Amino acid sequence: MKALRFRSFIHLRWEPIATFILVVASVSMLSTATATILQGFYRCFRGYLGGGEGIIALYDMGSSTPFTGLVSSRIADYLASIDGVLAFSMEILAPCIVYGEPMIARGVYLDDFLKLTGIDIIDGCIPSSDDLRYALIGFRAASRLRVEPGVKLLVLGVLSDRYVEVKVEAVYRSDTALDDEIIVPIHVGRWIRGVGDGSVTLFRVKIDESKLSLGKLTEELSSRIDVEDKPPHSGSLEPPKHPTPIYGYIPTTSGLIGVSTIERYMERYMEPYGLTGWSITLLSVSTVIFASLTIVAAFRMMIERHRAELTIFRFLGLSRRDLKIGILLKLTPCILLSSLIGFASGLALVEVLEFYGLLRILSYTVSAGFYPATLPVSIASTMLLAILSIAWSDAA
Amino acid sequence: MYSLIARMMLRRGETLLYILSIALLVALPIATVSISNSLRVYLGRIPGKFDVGGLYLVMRGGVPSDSILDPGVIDTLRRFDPIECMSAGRIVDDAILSIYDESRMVRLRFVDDVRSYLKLIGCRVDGRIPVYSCEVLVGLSLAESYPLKPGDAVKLTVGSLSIDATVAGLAISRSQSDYEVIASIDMAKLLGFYGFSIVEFRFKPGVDVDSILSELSRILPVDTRIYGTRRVMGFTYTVGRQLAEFVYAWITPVYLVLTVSSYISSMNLIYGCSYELSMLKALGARRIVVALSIVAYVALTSILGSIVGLSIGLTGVQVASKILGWMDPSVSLTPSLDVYDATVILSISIAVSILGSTPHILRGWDRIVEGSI
Repeated sequence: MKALRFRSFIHLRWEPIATFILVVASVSMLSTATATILQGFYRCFRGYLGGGEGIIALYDMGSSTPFTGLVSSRIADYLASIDGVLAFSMEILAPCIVYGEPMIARGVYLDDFLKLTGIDIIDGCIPSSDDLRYALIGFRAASRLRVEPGVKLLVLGVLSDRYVEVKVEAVYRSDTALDDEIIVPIHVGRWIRGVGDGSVTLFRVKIDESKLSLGKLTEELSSRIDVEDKPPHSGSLEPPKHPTPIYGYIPTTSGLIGVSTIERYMERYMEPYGLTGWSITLLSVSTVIFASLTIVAAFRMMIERHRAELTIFRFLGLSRRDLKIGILLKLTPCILLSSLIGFASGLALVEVLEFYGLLRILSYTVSAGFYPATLPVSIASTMLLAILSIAWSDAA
Repeated sequence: MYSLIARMMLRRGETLLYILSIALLVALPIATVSISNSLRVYLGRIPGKFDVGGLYLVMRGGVPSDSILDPGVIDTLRRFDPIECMSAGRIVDDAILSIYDESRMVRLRFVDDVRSYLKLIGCRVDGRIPVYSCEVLVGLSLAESYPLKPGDAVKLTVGSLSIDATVAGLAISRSQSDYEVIASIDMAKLLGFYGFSIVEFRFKPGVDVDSILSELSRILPVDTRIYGTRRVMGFTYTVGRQLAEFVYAWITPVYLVLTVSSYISSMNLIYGCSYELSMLKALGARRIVVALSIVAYVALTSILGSIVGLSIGLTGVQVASKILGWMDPSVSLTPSLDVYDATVILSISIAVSILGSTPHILRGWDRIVEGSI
């Protein structure tokens, strides 16, 4: 093949090459940073309640945010009587302000909570059961507020006119969105949320999947709630328009109770804003398309700067196709190098943004980790753009 | 001369490519910001549902149990007209409440007027409100843990001092007072505590809370702080600001690419127009005219690109939201862009475009000086 033989004769000057590398690296950085931030955002909120096999959430289907729904705490009695329920935790999520920072306080029964949630205590210790005003604080929140065990905090209610003074007993780490929250006793959570003893935001239920499925749990709960809580005209309550097999619902006097997997709980709140897995992926990839013309312009610049040399090769008998292949082969190491530089600088940029606390939504830090799939996708998309630019160019 | 140069540059074949490449890059932040605006608009609507007046606290320091207030603060607040009802209190931690052989650490709240305090926090009482200095109210949850009932005799100990008291009633407030012992400030004096640590109050309905708070912070001592509950507006404002910061942080790399894109377009211009620029110089064009023409070219292409990008971004995101809505009716995105955000994005785009072309403008200037153009 002539292109391979002539490849060593094609000499590209360093200045246009450096500019080309700069362009490809910056586009690669843009796509890496976008993909990393968006994937981090999606994973952060999808995994908001923590992962785990066989964990199901029960929540208020009428609420428009994950923090404002309320379900009856009597469900705890029904859950306790169902065979196959291994453990459950009733939790109340209360928006609050601490040291002027908006946060979410999570009211829990600590023993039940710890059965379902893995947290590592990195400073301090788990409070005793008779401690009525303890607070456990996630390491990110602790670092932001500069608090440590022993420090007293004034927690101001946002949805209620209540305030509570709590004492930080421990700082924990869970590597989930919990790291930006404060865990408090359930009664404190209820005060801050402004609700009585009969309400909680959600239940997390761990089931034995060999005995119980999501559908079976919904049926069992529904039959128990039927006896006491179901409204006399339950037909008037409209079921969701598009029920899918991954969640169920139970009509009660106070509204529909949603029953779904733990991931589905947050997806339900994100979907109305178009934040689905595929839309996030599409948006990540689209940055490359948005920046594609910049790469095309860079390639045209390369050709313009080498027009004289390329014309000589044409005179020497090299076909347009061979010339394009030769240039592509010559540029491939540069594209790979610049993609790697761009990938590394994209990750570095995200780290810097995270360090300065700029990647926070609803007071939760979007932990933009390293997602291995981003690297090959970034390199492949840049290569594809380079090939298209070369194919489209007037190299001859 | 300027129009000649402008026509010469704009007629170059690559100009359309540069305008489109800038447009696509600007479309990205425009689309992102307009999507995030729908969330910010939603956040902005929330306060109306909940902002119905909260409880305000005045104290020194970060928590009530560590605060000791200047007596002048209470007098100032009593004279402050917009305050509807207030209660001054002294918080004492680590007291011991004993009944028979059961002793526990409790928190004591001594208030200047028990009735006013109960009214302020909307507290119900099972039993009666204390009248004498040796009577106390015990929070319902605390009482249930002993258990205690109205009429029980208890002993309160703080350090080396102790006092015998009678439980006049049980307080039911859905607040931290459910785990506290509430008594008159006279009892605090018997236990050796003087002065107040916290003032709690509510404003009269209909007052402009924000302006009153700023006036209040002006007249109170510098080390005294005011805290407010049910400040939904403040909460949503901060969350909205975080969202805006997140979006602007996310689009930072776009501006880096835009800078590089502008760098290339100006580079191509300098090299592609070298003959024309030499001709202009031969015709008597001054160096400053040529340099300004390059700046004008870059600014013009970036302005045109930004305007096209604005249209592409807004149209694209509207179309995408409609398609998403058709595919899934639960999706209700209403992208919007306010003038402020549009101005900021366009201004930054033009600024970074000029910044990106600066090396070549300077280089072009040098070449003109050297006479190589």
